[in-house]
Amino acid sequence: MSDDGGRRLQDGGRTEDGGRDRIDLAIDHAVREILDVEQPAGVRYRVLRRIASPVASAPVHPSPVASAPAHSSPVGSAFRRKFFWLGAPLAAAAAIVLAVLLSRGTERPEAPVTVATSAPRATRAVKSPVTSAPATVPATTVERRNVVGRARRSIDRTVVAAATFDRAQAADTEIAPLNEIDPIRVTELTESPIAPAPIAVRPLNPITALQVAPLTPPDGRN
Amino acid sequence: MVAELAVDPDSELVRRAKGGDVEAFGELVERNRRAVFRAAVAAVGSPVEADDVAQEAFVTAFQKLNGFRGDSSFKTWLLTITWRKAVDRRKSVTKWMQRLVAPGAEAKDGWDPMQVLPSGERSQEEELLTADLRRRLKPLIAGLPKKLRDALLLAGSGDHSYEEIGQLLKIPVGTVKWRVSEARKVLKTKMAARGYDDV
Repeated sequence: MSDDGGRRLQDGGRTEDGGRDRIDLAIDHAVREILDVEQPAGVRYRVLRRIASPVASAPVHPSPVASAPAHSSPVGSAFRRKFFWLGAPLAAAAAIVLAVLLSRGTERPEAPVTVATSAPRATRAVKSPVTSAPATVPATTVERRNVVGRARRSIDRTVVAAATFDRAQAADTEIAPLNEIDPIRVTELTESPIAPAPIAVRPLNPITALQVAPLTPPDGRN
Repeated sequence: MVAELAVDPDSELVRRAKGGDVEAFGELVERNRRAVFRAAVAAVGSPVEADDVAQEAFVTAFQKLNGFRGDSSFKTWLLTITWRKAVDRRKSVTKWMQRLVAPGAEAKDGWDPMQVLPSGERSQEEELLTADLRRRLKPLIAGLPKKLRDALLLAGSGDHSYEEIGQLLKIPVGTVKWRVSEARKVLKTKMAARGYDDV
């Protein structure tokens, strides 16, 4: 720049003699070209549409062609895409954590297996005094209801009852005897005949003799 | 400030829009869309993203219209919103990921001059300048530090005064002028290094 007559550029691209150099002009034009881009049509309409329907917060694009260059999606703004890329891994991580927690949560109900073994023992232990001596009704009925009815929540209490079961105490326990079971009546099965009706066979109709006419000579053929 | 309010051509429309007149706001959009869009392009480079930014800016302006006290002109207030949104967009994670996916495809901060299409209209003077010079300048402009590039583009748009640019960038007017000058200086130095010092 200084080669041309020793002119030196000042701020704003002006030379000392007040003229503007070629590169300054070129910068101005390049800037103008960069900014002189036509905005997609219908800005007013699109803005008013977004204002009218605040639910549709995503920018409205005039047309897929105008809004979708090779690198961008017309579906949503970059802001939305950003949250998609942020949100997708977070959602996946949350799903994994949830799955782990749920799997741990489902393991817990399997614990009753040990308790289930103890429950019959408790009832059996309670039953035995019935034959020997009646015991106090309230305590045992409560325990039985716990074991049979509210399986999971009453399990712990049932286990405690089984652990503290004392045969001597059970002897004092008074339990009402079970009602007798009525005998089950079963009606006898009756056999019904299933023999099919007799099948009548007719002789077939006689076949009439076939009459075959002789073929016509191939006159028209070569 | 009072004088600015008195001459603000948008004040009547703003008053009506504050009263819920959507059509009046539509007129404000029409009046300012060009300046808003250009400011957005200056910040994000891509016309598509600039269009998104412009829309968001207008919608935000409508939503916050009652908070507009008239300390500045409506246009300046609107451009401030636009610039903030555009800069947020420029910093967005999307840009960061795009740079990861295709490093070197864009300028350092995601500003992509290749998306900016030249307008078909040129004056005779412009036609005299070589297309080659401009073609070489565009990537250099895109490669400028953001602070210099923002000032250069906003000043070069012709839509904003230095005072408005100072408000947008939150810097004194003197700093705006210095940055514009510095941007030119950097460009010239780079062009000289490429053999374009034939001034």
